[in-house]
Amino acid sequence: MLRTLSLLLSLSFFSLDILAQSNPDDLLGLWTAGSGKVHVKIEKVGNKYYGKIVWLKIPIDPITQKPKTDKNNPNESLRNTPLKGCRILKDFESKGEGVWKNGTIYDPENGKTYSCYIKMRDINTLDIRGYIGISAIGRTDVWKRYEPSKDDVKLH
Amino acid sequence: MYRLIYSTILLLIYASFSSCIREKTVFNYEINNAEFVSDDMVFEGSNTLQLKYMPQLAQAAGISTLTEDQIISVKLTKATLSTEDSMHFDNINSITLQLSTDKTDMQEIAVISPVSENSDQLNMTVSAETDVAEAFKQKEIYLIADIDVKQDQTMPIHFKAALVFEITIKK
Repeated sequence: MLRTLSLLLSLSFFSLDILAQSNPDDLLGLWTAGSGKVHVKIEKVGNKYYGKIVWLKIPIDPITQKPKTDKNNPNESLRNTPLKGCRILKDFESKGEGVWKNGTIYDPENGKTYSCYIKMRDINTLDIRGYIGISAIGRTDVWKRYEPSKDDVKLH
Repeated sequence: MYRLIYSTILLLIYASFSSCIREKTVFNYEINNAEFVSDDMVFEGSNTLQLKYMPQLAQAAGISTLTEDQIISVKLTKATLSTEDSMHFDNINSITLQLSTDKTDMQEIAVISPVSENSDQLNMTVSAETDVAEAFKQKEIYLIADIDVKQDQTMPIHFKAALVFEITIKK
């Protein structure tokens, strides 16, 4: 019992140590959202991080039979923007130890933007927490790093 | 004595009002030949092109200095893209233009979708509601073009943007 406990403790310290040493740019790359409906590419502009949709499971709007657009955007003049390429993660700043804050997440389903922070569980897993006002009131989605071998969809 | 105090108060009120009510000036600020160039190769799907730009609003307004609080609003009124590429914009489905700085949030300012074929010049739909004044208060801004490419292309994509902003300042 004691041995198991000490093993668990040393493992948790080991993972904390890995996160403490993590590079802020570990966030860059392709990620699959929890729903599996979208893949998001996270990039860096200046010193901040942004994520845009690069793949949609259902890219065609069933009503218009055309590629989906950001039809719920609160800004009417931007509703023609294609959903593929839409930046849904914006303005994240690295706070060290596998955490990125001060960003927002946009939900194209309802056109709303929420405050958001990102926590890296491990190099291939992200906790994306969207919230309104205080972070206690919100929802966490778990994103996995996109692995081409697991998915034959062509992505760039 | 009372008259002196009264006059001084009136003078102070007048002075503070006259400093607050500054003359508003509206002028156009153009960014021409902002050149977007991709890496060697672009891939099918969404690609990002970005460039850094240093706004010179004071110079354009014809004044020596312009403080942050003098900038009231900055709105994009026209965005034109042009290319000298023989392929024109034919390998691109759509282009979204955004603006960001290290201290302000990214804002979408113009879009064109779909991109018409055989055209070497495109007029984008601008976001009339978007005010990028806070971004223009910074020394450097980033212009970001998200382009949706139809198919892999070994040659880099390059085009120029000509942007016209309507600037309102307090002189």
